[in-house]
This record gives sequence, structure tokens and C-alpha cells, in this order.
Amino acid sequence: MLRKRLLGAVVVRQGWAVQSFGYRRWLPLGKPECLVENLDRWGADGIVVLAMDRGYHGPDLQLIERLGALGLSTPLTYGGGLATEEHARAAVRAGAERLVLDSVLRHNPQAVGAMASSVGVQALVAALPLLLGAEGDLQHLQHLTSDKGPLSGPICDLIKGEQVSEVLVIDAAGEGEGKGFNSALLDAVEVHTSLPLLAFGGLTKPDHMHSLLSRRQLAGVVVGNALNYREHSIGYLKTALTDQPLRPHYQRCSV
Amino acid sequence: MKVGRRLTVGIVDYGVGNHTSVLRCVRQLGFRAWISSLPDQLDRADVLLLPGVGAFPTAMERLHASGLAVYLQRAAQLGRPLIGICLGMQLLADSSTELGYIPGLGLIPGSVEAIGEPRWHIGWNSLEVAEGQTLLQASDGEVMYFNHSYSFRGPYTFVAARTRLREGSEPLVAAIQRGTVWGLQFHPEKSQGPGLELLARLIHAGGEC
Repeated sequence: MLRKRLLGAVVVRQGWAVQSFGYRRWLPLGKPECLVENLDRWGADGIVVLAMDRGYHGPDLQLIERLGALGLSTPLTYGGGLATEEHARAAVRAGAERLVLDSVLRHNPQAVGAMASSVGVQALVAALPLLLGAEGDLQHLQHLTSDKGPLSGPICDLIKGEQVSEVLVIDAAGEGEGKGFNSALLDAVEVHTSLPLLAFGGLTKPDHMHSLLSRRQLAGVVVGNALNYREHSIGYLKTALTDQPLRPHYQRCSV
Repeated sequence: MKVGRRLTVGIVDYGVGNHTSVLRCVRQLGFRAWISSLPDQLDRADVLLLPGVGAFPTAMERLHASGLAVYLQRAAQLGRPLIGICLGMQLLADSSTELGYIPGLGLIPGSVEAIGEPRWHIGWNSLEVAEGQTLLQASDGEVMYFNHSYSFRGPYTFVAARTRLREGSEPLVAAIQRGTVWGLQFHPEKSQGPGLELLARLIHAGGEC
């Protein structure tokens, strides 16, 4: 039976791993390699590296290569600056297993098809930083400019038409707050797609994850900041979530 | 068995995907390993490893263009140990229907077809090892990392392990074997301890051929 996943996220800005607070403030944490190595050692079900400030500058291939050189035995997903088929191919060639697409969905969704034929649809994840408006309406946040608006027709078509294989739903208001994930965002996205969903933002405690993991369409939870303040944090969370269909905890022995 | 020296692994480079992670993984397991597209360098290896991510047609095109398709077919005929991983496993089959009918290497009878519904198999799933597969037996029930949308279909004889998307659902093929040729649909190099242990066993067994 396919297990749900507990993934660790590392947010990168100007080459440094940072703790992000709602895309507005950033607290430096250190080298991304150190955090990624920890997540690998602690037995995360996957590692998601999000280079937030790449815009259209292309993927940070040097970063991906440095991470690949660590000899990770955990799947690595990368997001940041991916705008063309060539970017996608280069990122995979540099060592990323899967790719998170963000700005390209908004500005050039047609490029996603070409990326899929090059690296496979199963490698593509759509990132949707979302907010709920005053009327409970879904708002799509462009984190580089802070613009927001309704989910565009082409993005709805893209996730409905399954041109990506998963959707990373980001609770943009809760991100960095540590107060849990707003599950109403998942309700709103499930109206548009039957794709597996990943939830990211505000998740720190097992209580925050428990009810989310019970949702049929949710494939996994992505935890960022909370993992960096406790040794072996993945094991702690998995132990507290043993009644959920997660992969049993595995931790590499230090020799 | 090769006595008195470390086993060597040749990772076949046909220009698709990233082979560095596989290289590092194999080296961490204690084997000597190198990446090459050159037959004379691959000839020096005890075991050949064929990784791969992406689309089947592009991969076959690259294998033919580089002459490696013929090289791998000859290597298998000679009984050289060969392990295909993910797309590398699918390439061992007779054919694939990914983006149209495309012949494969034809080393293990079977075809590669779309999974169906759901369209993808992404994440961690447990292995059901087939009876008599002594080499894989220790991995029965272990959870491995899968990421694919097409799956091998072929005679039961060649199926070494299976997996299921849901309890009670039709199984998907997780591993295949014919003689010294093995295919793993999952990524052992990304499956942490259980995957690394399984890969090490297969390489050791190959080295004993």
C-alpha cells in the first residue's frame, strides 16, 4: 500500500537556508547542505528544497549539484527559477528527482507540457501559495511581488488536466507561523483537481498533521522550520503519528 | 567469486538523467564504480548498472545512437550481470507504449504500459517478493521509493517482486529477473537503508557470477 509522506522542506534565499515567515521576513539558518544532510540522516520521506528568489533566473544548478554530491539516499525535489524545458532537464541532470513549478504556472503555463515530455509528468509538482479572501474565496499569491488574485483559468486547466502529478498547496498566511495548516485551502483545491495534494505551511506539531493525513486526497505533509530546532525531529513526529499510514520511521545509523 | 579485490560496477551513461547519485550510492556501499558510455570501460566492470529517468522513447533513441543498445544486448547474452533501475528496468522489456509503440532492449519478455488509474505511482510502497526469489527474500515487506507512470507487464516467471497501490488492488511489478539480468522499478539508491541493502545484495550476487 502506498504510504503517505512526511517531507522536510528547506527554504533557500540568496544561497542560504532561511526560516521564512509568510514570505515577508527571513531568518538565516545556515548552509542548505547541512540542513539537507540532517533530513537525509533523520529519515525524511523526501526533501523539498525551495530557492525562493530565483524568479526567472533559472534553477540554482550549483546548489542542486552540491546537494547531489552529498550522496543522499532520500528523494530530492527542487523548486526555484524553473521556467523552461531546458531548465527542467538541467535540474534533473544536476540531481533533482522532482521539480516544483511556481512562477511558470502563472506566466507561461504552456511551458509545462514541454517540461513534462522531457522529464516526465511524474517529476512535476505545481506549487500554489494560497490565501482565503474575506469572502472565503481562494487567492493565489505571487510571493515575489505580493500580488494576489483568483486562480487563473490556465492553472485550473493544468491541474484539472493532470499536466503535473501532484499539487503543493502552500498556506501562505500560515507559513512560518507554526499555528497549523488551514485545511479549508485543501477543500478549495480539491474542487479543481483529483491530483494528490501536499500540504505545506504552519505545520509544526503532530496535532497539526493528524487530521490532514486522514484526508483521502492528501499524499503528504511538508514541514519546514519546525524540523530545524530539534535533533531527529522526523523520528519524533513519526512516533507521534504511528496511527497514520506513513512509512515506518527509518533512521540511518551513524558509524 | 572475485577474490582479493573489490567488486566493480559500471554505470551506463547514455545521456538521460543524473547518474551521480547512483555513483555515490554504489561507492558508499563499498564498491568501486564509474560512469561511462564507452564499451571498453564498461567491459572492466563486474556488474553493469543501467539507471534512468524520463521518457522511454528518448532513452531508447540515446541507447541506439550511442551503440549501447547492442552492447547491453551482447553483455546480457554473455551472462554479464546487469541491473536496470526505474526507467532502466523498463528498457529491458520487449517494448513500451509510452508516446507510441517503441521496441525496447528485449532482454526480459514483457511490455511497458501505462499504469492506468491513478496515473502515477509516487512515494513509498512495500515489496511483495515472489516465491523462490531467495536473493530478494530479505526485502519482503520492506518499503521502497517509487516514481513512475508506466509499468512492466509480462510473464509471471520473470516477476521477482510486486507492489500494490491499495490493499487488495491489482499488483504492479516492482522487480523482474531473467538469469543475470535484473530490473528494479523502484529507486534503491533513494530508498535509504532497505534500498541500499537490497542493491548491495544484487551487486554481490552479480559479482559471484
